[in-house]
Amino acid sequence: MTRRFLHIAFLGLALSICACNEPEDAWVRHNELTEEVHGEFQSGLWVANEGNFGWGYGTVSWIDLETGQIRNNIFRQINGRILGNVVQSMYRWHDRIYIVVNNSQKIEVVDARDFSSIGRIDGLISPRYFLPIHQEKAYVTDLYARGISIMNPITLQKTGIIQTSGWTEKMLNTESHILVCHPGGNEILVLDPEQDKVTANIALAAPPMHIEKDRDNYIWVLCGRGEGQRNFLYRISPNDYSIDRAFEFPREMQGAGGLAISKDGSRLYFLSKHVYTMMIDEISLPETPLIQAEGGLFYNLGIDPVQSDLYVADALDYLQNGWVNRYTPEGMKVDAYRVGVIPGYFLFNNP
Amino acid sequence: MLCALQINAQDTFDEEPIVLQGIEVQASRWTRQSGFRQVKVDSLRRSQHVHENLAQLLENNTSLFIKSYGLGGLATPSFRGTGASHTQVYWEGFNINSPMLGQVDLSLIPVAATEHIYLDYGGASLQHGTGGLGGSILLDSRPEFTKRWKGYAGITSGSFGMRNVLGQVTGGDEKWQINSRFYHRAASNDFPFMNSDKEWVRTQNAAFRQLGLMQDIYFKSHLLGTFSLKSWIQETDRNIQPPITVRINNEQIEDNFFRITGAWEKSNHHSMLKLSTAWFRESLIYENPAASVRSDNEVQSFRTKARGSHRINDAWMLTGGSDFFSDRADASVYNNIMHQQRLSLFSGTEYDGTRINFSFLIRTEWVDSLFSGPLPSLGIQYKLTGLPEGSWLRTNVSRNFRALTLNENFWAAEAGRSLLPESSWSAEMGLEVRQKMYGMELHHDVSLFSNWVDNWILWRPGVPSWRPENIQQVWARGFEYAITLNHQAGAWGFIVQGSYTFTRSTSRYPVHGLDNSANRQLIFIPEHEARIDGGISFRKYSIGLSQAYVSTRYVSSDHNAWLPAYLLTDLWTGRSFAIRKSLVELRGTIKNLWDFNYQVIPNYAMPGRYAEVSLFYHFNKKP
Repeated sequence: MTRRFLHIAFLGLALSICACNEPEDAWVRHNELTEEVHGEFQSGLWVANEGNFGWGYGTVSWIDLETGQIRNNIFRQINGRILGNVVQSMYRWHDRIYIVVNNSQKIEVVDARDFSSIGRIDGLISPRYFLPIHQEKAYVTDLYARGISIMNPITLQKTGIIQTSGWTEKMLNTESHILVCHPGGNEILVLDPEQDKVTANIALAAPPMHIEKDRDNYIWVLCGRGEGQRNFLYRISPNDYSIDRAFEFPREMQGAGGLAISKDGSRLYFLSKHVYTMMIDEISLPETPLIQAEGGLFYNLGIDPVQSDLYVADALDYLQNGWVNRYTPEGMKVDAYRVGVIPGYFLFNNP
Repeated sequence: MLCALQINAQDTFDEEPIVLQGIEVQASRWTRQSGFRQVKVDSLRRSQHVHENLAQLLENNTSLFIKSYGLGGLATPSFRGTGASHTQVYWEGFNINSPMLGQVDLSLIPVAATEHIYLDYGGASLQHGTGGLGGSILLDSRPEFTKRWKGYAGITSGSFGMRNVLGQVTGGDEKWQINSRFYHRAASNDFPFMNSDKEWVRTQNAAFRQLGLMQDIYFKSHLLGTFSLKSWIQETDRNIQPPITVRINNEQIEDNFFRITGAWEKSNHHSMLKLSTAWFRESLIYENPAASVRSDNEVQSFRTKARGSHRINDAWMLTGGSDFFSDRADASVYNNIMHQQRLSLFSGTEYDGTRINFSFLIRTEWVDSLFSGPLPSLGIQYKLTGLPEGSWLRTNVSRNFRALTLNENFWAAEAGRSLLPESSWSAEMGLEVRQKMYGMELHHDVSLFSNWVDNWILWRPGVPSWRPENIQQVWARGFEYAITLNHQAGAWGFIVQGSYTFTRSTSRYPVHGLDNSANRQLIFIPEHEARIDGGISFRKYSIGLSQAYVSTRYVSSDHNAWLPAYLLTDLWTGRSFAIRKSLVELRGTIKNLWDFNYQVIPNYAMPGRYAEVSLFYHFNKKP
């Protein structure tokens, strides 16, 4: 019996020798890794899929609008490494794309033509959005840094910081100033890019999260901290940055999500569980949605600056690959594309 | 590691051979309900893992799946395909799940702080309280009331700066007993791993330090009954290991508590009455200096319990009792101090026949103004003829519910939502067989289980923070098999223990037409888990090998992404030396022998091969 046991023990030992593997074998695997990626990116859009905080896997998807083909997880497929999480936003500047990866404390820089890695910006705490000012300067907002980082977009070096009292979010370039959403202070910061200084602020009643400009250069700001909180839409004068109109959301309009302006700058689209739309000169919020979520979890929206179509991200349960739904400006569904986990940002490519 | 070196305190430690033993499946009559599955972790196996934490002990020795965020990181249990908050942990009969989070971090409970560890599967947990939709873990200690002092002191040193020092002294006389334990555990946990940029680096910010003291005092009088007073103080400082996608992180958590409980128990041949009360103070401080974030949380809990039983005749026994809990939480995120009160009443009966035993229990609970409704549980077991004592066919059915935690209540209210408590129906069939053949002792245990959970609560990301939601119905079902084979022949002894668990845990309905998660395995829950362990001893030498296999775990609810399966091997060896009435024990373990690369939670690196060496001195003095 003892001998039999020893045989079993040696068999177990032999089996366990077969267990050796490579370090990458421990990483998350995706179905799309089995698909081949090749060719350049033509007419279409990149989608930043956040992935879950900490344990999640942020990815970038490409939707080719000419062929309707989708290529998911293109950063890992092309560059052979994990992008990180949470993939917050993207910005195209010349032939470069700056991918802001929030929890991974970095900005990955890739070539817009083939998505190959050019470099990365480190030394950030919790970056949110990237905005280039000129050849030697870009700003990066941050959730925790209590400041806006100043970067060189070519050398990818951090050159300074503009102190703030807390969380900074989306930015808008008005040519004369940079307007920065500052949810930490319920205000918009007015930044002088020449001096890298905050010169004024616009006080609001709720944390600003989204900012856009219409055809008349009026600035629209969507404020709110989600469900159960007070949410507002503001129209701000481009001349003196005074609040021109303020719309408070009724209780039945839950939360406030993305904000986008139509191609001609005359119409607003925003999320409040469903998709709503209104002309820029209307004096009240719409009562009925343009597009019903119908059980989906609309997470953000964007507008193709050339074709005018509306794109709405559906994160479903936050735990599976989400959808990007494509609609006409009138809200007719055109198509739907399955992308990565928690699609949250669109970057259009129209050569 | 399934084998344990036997250290019998009553031995004189002469040339008696080492005996390897397995798990004890039967528990005392007072703690086990007929028809339900309860497993006791053998005290000898416990002693072999005494320098580790409870998560390490359970993941190596039981069918529980432990979700671990790295060496020394958060580790939560998953019982039968359920979530972390569906396992209730009881210390000396009192629930120690965090009233805020609803779960217990098993990495914070050192094995040195436990004496008896029981796992109650499924509906068996209802005899202790509600909320254990998957099951419960019981930790308790009992005095022997003999005139003897015994104890141990030990030190373990290992890779990645691991240094543990622990000890215990217990003893007294027939009236008084004391039991004192202490432990200090520390590790830098700076193991090498490949980060997401494919660079080999060492884990930074994963250090761990823990100090604990426990003191129990017992007094026994035939006239007055037994009194006990037990206290437990523990301080833990640990850094939070970042995911492999994060380069710089300096988050840290300070987790301290003081727990004290007093009890009075009087019993005779027919009846038992036990009254106990407890007060806990727990504080958790989270700091992220880079983000200038600090969160202070303090919970104070007052708990009291009454238990009684009366045996009407040889076959019938009545049981009953009540629990009252009051929790007060002061947390940075709450606008006000949060309170929660619970009152639970139960009664039941047990029947012990010659062939058939059954137990019936009905429990109700009020959580503030919420009423659970009746929560019945019924178990039946049938004694198999022609087989040794302890062979049974069993079946049970039960209803359970889990009240909302303070965090769930608060965040749901913040979002203007109402949240429903989770409820479940579970059913189980099992077969337990003990055999003796060719001089070997064999024990098999087979279970089939099914658990339907309604209003399963899931935390989802949101702005500005995560929010709990009732998502759907989850159906968890599966199959468990465990075998122990024991053989002793002269100076030689060996043991083989194996277990296999198949778990299907699926959500029932899609969110909408495009949702691809319905009827798919829930994320992070493996379908297959298998363990096999073998140990052999000759005189005072022992050596063994443990293998654990965990299958693919999906990390997206549509099964588009998954973590590969892993197979871990541990090799251990030991030698003991008898010195008069004392025993010196030297043990060495190589963990993850084949340096297998794996992750339990995506992006959280786990260590490759590493080693530990322990030296223990056990004394056993008689007056």
